[in-house]
Amino acid sequence: MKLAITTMGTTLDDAVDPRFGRATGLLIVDTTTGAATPLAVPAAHAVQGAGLAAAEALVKAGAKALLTGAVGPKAARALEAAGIAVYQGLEGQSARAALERFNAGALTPENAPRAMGHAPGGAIGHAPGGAIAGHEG
Amino acid sequence: MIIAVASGKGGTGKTTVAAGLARVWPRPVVAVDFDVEAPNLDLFLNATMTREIQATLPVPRIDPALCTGCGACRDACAFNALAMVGPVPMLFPELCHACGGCLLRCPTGALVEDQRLLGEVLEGRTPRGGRVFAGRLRIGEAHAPPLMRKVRVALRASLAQEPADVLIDAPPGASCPALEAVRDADLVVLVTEPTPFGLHDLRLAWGAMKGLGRRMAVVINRAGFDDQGVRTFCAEAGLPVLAALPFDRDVAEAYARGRTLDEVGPEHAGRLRALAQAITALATPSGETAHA
Repeated sequence: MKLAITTMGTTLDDAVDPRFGRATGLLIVDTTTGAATPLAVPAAHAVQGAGLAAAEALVKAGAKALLTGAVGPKAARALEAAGIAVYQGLEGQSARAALERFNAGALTPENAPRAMGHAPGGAIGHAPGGAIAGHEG
Repeated sequence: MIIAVASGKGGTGKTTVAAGLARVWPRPVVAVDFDVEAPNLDLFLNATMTREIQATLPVPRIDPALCTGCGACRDACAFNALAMVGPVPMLFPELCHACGGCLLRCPTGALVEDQRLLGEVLEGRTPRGGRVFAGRLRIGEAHAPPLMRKVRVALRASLAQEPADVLIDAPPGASCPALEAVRDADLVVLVTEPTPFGLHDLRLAWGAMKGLGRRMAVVINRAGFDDQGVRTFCAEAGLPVLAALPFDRDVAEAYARGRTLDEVGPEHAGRLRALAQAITALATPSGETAHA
């Protein structure tokens, strides 16, 4: 299967970027071959809806899972609708380390948003499964 | 003549100045509260708001039976309000700016117009018969300018029936709502205070608003501490300082009781009248004489 990892750079040795829609980089990883391909972050500088555009890019790329720091409420809805499993709280380690933990079955998917929205309508408050209650994996 | 009282920093005295000016204005005047996130001008003017009209913004709704999932609407949206993550677009109406592009581009008529409630347009009169307009943004609505434009439509209709000058109480800040409030003003009166914050935000507001090509001037409120920084900036920027309203505990106490500046004392009322004169003189387009 294919999965996506947000990174601070363009390789698996770069750290996991805590942001989703405004991540520095996105990597699409084929878990069978281990090959990692950079994917352009589509709307990193958009005024709003950066997470939605990133979710669309994942759908187009055929990713079935996302490894990242935190997703916001609107991106969470879009990823849920797209059937993409979301693994959050993975910042502070390399993309490779996060991938190895995923491959070892050590991560638990969590589709509820951990981040508060930035754009209009998202700033209502921490959604269920916020930073405190979130599962670190 | 349209006068907008703006500031940059919040709490410098916009409403104090706007309400005071409305009370002493030498000609018929309509007061407009464009601080739609926290309107309070009507309270200071003792206005009774008798009309309340719901204002809405057209947003799309999707008929899944007609949608082919072509994504044309999503490509037309500059605001990422439509996401193609499934067979039909997913809609995020809170991100919609109501441009209507998606409705035009949908080839199958699967998008129909729905409405998002923005808030209310309020209209009333002071005990002396002066007209007051305001907007009240719905709690949770993030975009103030669309509601402000609805208030302006009601204002223009009223002015067409009964011409008058317009005094706008603008929202604080230097972003879209503040710019929307001053965009058609003949003169923007920037109320500032002689503090580092006041000067910093005055600079921001001036910088943002000068692009609109509006004439601007400054009123220093709570003057008398260290006004030199503000005065130096105004001189460099070519901003006339129309008044310096001295810091006075009595003003704060009157404000807390919902009174206006002219009610505090004759010297305050006199300063307001002089300010009103200076404003009308500066805002009157050359060639047009002020009507008494």
